[in-house]
Amino acid sequence: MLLNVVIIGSNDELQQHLDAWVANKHAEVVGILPVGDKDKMHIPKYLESVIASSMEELTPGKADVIDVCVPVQERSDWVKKAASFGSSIICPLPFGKTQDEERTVIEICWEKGVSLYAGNSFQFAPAFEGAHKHVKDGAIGKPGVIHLSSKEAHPGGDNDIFALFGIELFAWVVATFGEVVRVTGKHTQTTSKSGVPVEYAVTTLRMADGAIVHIELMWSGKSIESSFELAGSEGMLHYDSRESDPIHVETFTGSGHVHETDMVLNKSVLAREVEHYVACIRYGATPILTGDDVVHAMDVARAASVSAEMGEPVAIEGGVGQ
Amino acid sequence: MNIGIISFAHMHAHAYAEYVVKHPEAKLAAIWDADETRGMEAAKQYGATFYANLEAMLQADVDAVIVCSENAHHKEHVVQAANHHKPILCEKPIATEIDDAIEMIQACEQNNVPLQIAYPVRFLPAIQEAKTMIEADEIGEVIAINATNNGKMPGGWFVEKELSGGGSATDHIVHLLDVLRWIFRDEAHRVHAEYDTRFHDINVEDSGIVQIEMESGKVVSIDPSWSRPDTFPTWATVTMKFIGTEGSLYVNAFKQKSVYYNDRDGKVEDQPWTDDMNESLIHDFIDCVQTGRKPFISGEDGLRTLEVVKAAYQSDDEKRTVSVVRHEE
Repeated sequence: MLLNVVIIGSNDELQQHLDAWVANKHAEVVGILPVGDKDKMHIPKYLESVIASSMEELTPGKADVIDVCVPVQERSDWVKKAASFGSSIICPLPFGKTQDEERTVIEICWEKGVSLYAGNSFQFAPAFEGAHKHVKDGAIGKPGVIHLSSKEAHPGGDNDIFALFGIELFAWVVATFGEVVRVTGKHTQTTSKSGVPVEYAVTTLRMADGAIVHIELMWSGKSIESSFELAGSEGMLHYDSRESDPIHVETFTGSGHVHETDMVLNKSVLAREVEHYVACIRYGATPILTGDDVVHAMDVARAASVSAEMGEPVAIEGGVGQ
Repeated sequence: MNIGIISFAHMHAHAYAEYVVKHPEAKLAAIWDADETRGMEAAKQYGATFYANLEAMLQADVDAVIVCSENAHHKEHVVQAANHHKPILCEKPIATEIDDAIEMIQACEQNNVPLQIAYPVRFLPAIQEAKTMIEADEIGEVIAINATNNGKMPGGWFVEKELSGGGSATDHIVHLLDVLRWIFRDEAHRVHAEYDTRFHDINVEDSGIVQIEMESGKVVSIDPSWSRPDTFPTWATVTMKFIGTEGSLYVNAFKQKSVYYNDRDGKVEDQPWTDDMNESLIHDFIDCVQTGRKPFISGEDGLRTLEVVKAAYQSDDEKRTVSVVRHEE
């Protein structure tokens, strides 16, 4: 039996999520609620009949899962509305613009007995997904020193870089390496001559098992980059998106063309994420990123922010599952 | 110019010996080593005279010395050489204790001889190029640096605290911090470190992440770990990522290499082809002695990095951020 999916989304995110669900043979899109200008979204003709213009038009109980893919500032509101349907919900991290919003949303879902699954582009990016498995399989032995970095263009506005940008990597670290006991964060920002903001943050995480993790977050420039180096007692795994682009192109006229990403994939990152959560919802598979992992990652993000402010390490009380 | 080498305890002594021998205006005239067998073998290899007594070597026809003894012995050897008015190139770290470093600097000042500390990373072509580009304002004002100097575990006295002063943090932080001080003329203000022993069965640290806030406000991360696996194709790596207002610059100083897939020996090996930093270091020291100029890298440079190494150990110990104290020489 197919999983019935309702997608609540805006713009590019709606398009990408729709593509991922349509590609999945175990799911059927039974409702689409476009948020924002519907005309800008390319919904295939055969799905036009399931487009709704409000939550009220969607039938509660008809959906097995609601995929909320809206901009950060709207996520918590839509997840709260979706929670009243009683279906499972998938929403990208972070679940809200502030941690208070996120924790409220998590509480509401818990009270209503609704499973809230976290979308995390790092968890399902194939290099990171593979590395997670290798680490769990003992490929590097006892983790020693772990490096992760992520860079993207500055999103504009005034945001907590740890809560908004760091959360996905923190969640991957928690899911892969376990509990964090101490966090030391540093943050700095400046402006380029042309007035574009540049923001940089680092976090040292001390894990419960003694491993040391360094995470670098950069909001600058235009390119999207990520890397990891996972060094342990029995080996090391290394990846750098700048070195993995399979295509280099030089054109002799015009301004030339720079290939945008190393992730040239038939099955997109989102499609992989959808596939995993279908298995969780349909077959009861254990999610690769549990609710406890997400809450702990949020604690890490908050501690990093506090540490950066105070200039001292911050201990995390309780750990995963508390 | 006759050069004497004091001890072959540090493996770099062989590189230094080779480049002294090759230098058109220098000769490796003398070697002393507390390990007489090791010293005599080296003397035979490089055509130098072996001295069983250091005092005797310092009284002989030696114009300058290179100190490559265990870290804890640097003070004794540098002070002795200074008292014999010999210009000195001393391996890093300058010493294992701040008081020792100060005593060494003072001894050289009082005897009016140059004390140069061996920080070869300054001589890596890619590092020098990065410095030129940063000074040309290519990435604007730098607000943060993420640096790594990782290697394989050297073993031997390097992992005996009474001789080395510590593990990978003692071995590697200094290389990166020295380059940052050199490029930015900046000093460390506050330090936080997390250390552990995760890779090897030894009694000193081999893992670490250090966060430094510079006086200028720059946010610096340093990874000095002995984290390269046995199968890694080279001994060590040096990487530095500079984040600026107008862009970012990433230098991977040992990336200039060919890769050799060696079926004969069953391994993959990097074949570096850029200029050898140790050769440049030796040439610079010899030039310093010949011209009588101030050393490119001074005892004070050595002391400044040692102060940060000590603050970092204190931070890891006490689980808090520590302010760096700078001592008068």
